[in-house]
Amino acid sequence: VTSRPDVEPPRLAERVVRLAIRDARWREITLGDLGEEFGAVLAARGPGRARRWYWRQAVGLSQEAVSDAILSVVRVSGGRPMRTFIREVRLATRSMYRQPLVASLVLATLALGLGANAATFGMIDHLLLKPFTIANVDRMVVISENSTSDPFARSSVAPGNFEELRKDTSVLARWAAFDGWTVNMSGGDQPEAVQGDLVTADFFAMVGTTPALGRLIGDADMGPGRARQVVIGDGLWQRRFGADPGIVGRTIQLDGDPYTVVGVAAKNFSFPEGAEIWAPLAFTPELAADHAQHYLTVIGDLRPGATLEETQAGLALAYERIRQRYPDGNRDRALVVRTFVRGMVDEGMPQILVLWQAAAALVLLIACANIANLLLARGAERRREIAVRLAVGASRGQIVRQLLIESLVLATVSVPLALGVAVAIFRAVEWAMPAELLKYIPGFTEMGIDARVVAFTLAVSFGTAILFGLLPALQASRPGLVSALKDGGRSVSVGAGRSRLRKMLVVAQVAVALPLLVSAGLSAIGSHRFANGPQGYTPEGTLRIRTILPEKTYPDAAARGRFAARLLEEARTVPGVAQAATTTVAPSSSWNKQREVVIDGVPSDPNKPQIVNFRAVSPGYLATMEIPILRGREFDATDNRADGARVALVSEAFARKYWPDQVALGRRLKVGRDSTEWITVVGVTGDTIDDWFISRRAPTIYRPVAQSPSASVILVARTDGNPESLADGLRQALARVDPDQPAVDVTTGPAALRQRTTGLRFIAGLMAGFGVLALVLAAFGIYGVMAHYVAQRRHEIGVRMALGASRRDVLRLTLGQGLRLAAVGIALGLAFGLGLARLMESALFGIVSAEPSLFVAITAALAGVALGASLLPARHATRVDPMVAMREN
Amino acid sequence: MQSMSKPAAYLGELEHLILLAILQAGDEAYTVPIREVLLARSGRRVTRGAIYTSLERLETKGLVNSRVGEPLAIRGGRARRYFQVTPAGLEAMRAAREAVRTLSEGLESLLERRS
Repeated sequence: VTSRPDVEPPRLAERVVRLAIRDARWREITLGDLGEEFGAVLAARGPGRARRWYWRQAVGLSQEAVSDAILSVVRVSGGRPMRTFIREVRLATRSMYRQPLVASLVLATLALGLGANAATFGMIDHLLLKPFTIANVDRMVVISENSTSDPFARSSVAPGNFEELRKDTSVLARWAAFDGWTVNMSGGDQPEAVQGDLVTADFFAMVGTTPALGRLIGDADMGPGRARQVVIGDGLWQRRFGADPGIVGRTIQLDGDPYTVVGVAAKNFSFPEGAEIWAPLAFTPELAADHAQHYLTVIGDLRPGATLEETQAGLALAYERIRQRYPDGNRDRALVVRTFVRGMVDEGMPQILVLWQAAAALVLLIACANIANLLLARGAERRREIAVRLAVGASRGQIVRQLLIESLVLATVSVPLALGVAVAIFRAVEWAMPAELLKYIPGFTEMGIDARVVAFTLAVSFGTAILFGLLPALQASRPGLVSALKDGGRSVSVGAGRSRLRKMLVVAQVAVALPLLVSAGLSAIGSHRFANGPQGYTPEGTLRIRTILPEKTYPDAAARGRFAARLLEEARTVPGVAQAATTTVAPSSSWNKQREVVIDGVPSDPNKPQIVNFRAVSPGYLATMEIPILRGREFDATDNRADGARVALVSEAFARKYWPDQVALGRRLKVGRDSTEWITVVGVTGDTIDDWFISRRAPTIYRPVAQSPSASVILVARTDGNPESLADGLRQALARVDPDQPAVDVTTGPAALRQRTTGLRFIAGLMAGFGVLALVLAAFGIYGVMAHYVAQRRHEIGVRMALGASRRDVLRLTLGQGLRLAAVGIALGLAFGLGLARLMESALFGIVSAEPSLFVAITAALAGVALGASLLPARHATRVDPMVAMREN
Repeated sequence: MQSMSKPAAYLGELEHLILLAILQAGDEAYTVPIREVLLARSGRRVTRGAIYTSLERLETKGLVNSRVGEPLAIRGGRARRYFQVTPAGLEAMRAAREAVRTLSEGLESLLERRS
């Protein structure tokens, strides 16, 4: 074992240890021990782990120090800390029982506030921090070749580049690559499209799973002629083969080819993205020579002791060499190494989850303010009791401690209730998420209450108790002894400070509620606009049905073109079909296809490829989808021939981008850098919104399907009636053309649109929930303070009325007070709200902007709530009988 | 019958285990091996703070004494503190062991581990 003098224990952690240990002698010994043990861990497990180990020790020591400190605070007048503590807890419990209404209000508020936070933490924990149940996940990385023109960073490695990179094993211990593989499985009642992946030899070993039956794919399957082996998922095995234990060794038909089942994956294994079938990704010489097409997802195991930065640096060198050797297709790319979880979790997810946690924390803050308010009110009522205790010799510290323990007891009791609320939220979330989306969100199905969620909730509840308990405790123990004892709790001088505090809390509540409502409003507007705004086509009345043609049965363009034409012919005979067409990509779907174009007269720069959306459509497609033709004409039958004139339609955005001040019609372009074929633009179409997040009004080019047939065929049909009634007819039409072709994604236009906006509606729903919660809590707060205000001023109101003030004056006085508080809160909240709106704009990819009307509406809503919450106490005030109120003294 | 003039000091369980660990660690009985022996032999993961507090208490009770070694580079220039069980400590351990033995008499069939 060599010592590594260059690596030292983390400075900051050392400082934490120093702070944690009060005794100077033991501090030195501890630091010495830790230093010595750090050296041993360093030699055995490398610098990264050693540093983490040191931090764990430091955190452990400070936890011990904190609990020691708490115990010594609890320890009163020497010894018996536990007994004193128990006595105080018992006292606190008793005082909770004495005021059941206050206690249950506090508990309910806490349960809601804490529950929202527990659920959000649970989601973040499962979706972001540890969404994958892979043992070695901390040491795994995702390697991508990022490019400015390619929005999908994850699947971006060219097979040739992967081959070159993995030759060098000095940087990563193990490599694996995979590529999405959707196959048509025939041979049962109905053909079925099964989604899976082609994987390299180390894939299964790296993700650390074991087979339920047979074996997984490994080194032996990578040789020539071994590609026809598959591992099937548990779900597929149950569904398609009735969990037949003799499945291993059987031959199944995939895309018309025989494959041998070599194993069944473990029960819950569906990595990546809900895969159900895995086959070897064997590197043929052609594949290994492909350095230009970027589609593999690559994962790696870090070498023992190596950090992410070291690995990134090591790979960057190797990648630079590859880029120099194979410049084509690699010019604008850069190699990026990310942790496995960051690399595999969807882009945008972290921002959204952070937003949720922030919203949940704000709700908790509002809840805290409410509870503090309740306790302040109760403190006022208990002033006599506290004054007596102070008079007989209790120290202020003892009183504060007693009141804090009461808060802690409340917080602890609320934890199980909060967990119940969290479970309800989890259930609601699961219910709101459609199954077809769930499988793409790793970690979602495992969501629930676990030890970490419980620990988090406990910790937050303690923090909360101190937050809401400390202020009232300090207030209540303020020595205003003589006056409190004398006047029995109606002193104006002491009451003034307290009610100022209570008013500040209400102002703070309103100020925090406003930004929450802004974000809720923004997400609601955004999701409404997505689902109901103009899409550039008319989704209503359409049905789409997709099928993917395998190479084996449809090897060439001619065969695929014939299939598309035949399908269309059959579809038009289905009763109810008014119009029908085919396309390769439909709007509002999760698919896209892009190609590089070269514009005539514009010099092309290989470093800046012009990438546009590409669709191959049949004549009548635009009419069927009701995408408007702005200039020129749609394709006709003479265009749609393999040997027809080379023509294209471009979208408005396309025309504006490439011919900003000129007529697009008649212009020429090429599809693909190396193409020699000039294509003439014959029409300009309206823009469509294919995907709200990444492809809104993107430049799009349409080509006649016969001139550019593709393996992906989507049939779209329009009817005057209910589009769902077409489904069976169109399925049968497909079966008549080829009974082995499964229909995938049979959905109506509106359903497809809904699916695309599920995530967004989900965000909006949750944010709206938080917003409503905030509003309700704020209303409680205002009501409480106003009721207290009126109760305290009964005497004064009585005097005013006796001196001639009308009921209206009294109403104005009290309502004015409530609205003033709300106004101050709103003014502060607007500032926060504007800031948060900026954040939301970026989290929602800039699709919503904070409009003044939204702020106006929210201000009005809050003012309305404030008015409503003050109205009841204000009316109460007007009913004060001057004679009674004045005699009450 | 107890026949000692001065009764042996009462030992807490952790204190007892730590005394044993010191003896097991022999001449090299400083904090790191004490903790390691405790973990390896008893399987108990005791926090650092608890060990330090117990050692401190044992020293106050006179059951162990300690000496400070030379400053060492691997400890960032800090010295080790070596512990040794005093005769009083040994006596306390014997007493505790005797108490366990006496109380266990006749219970062998219950307490012996069956494999």
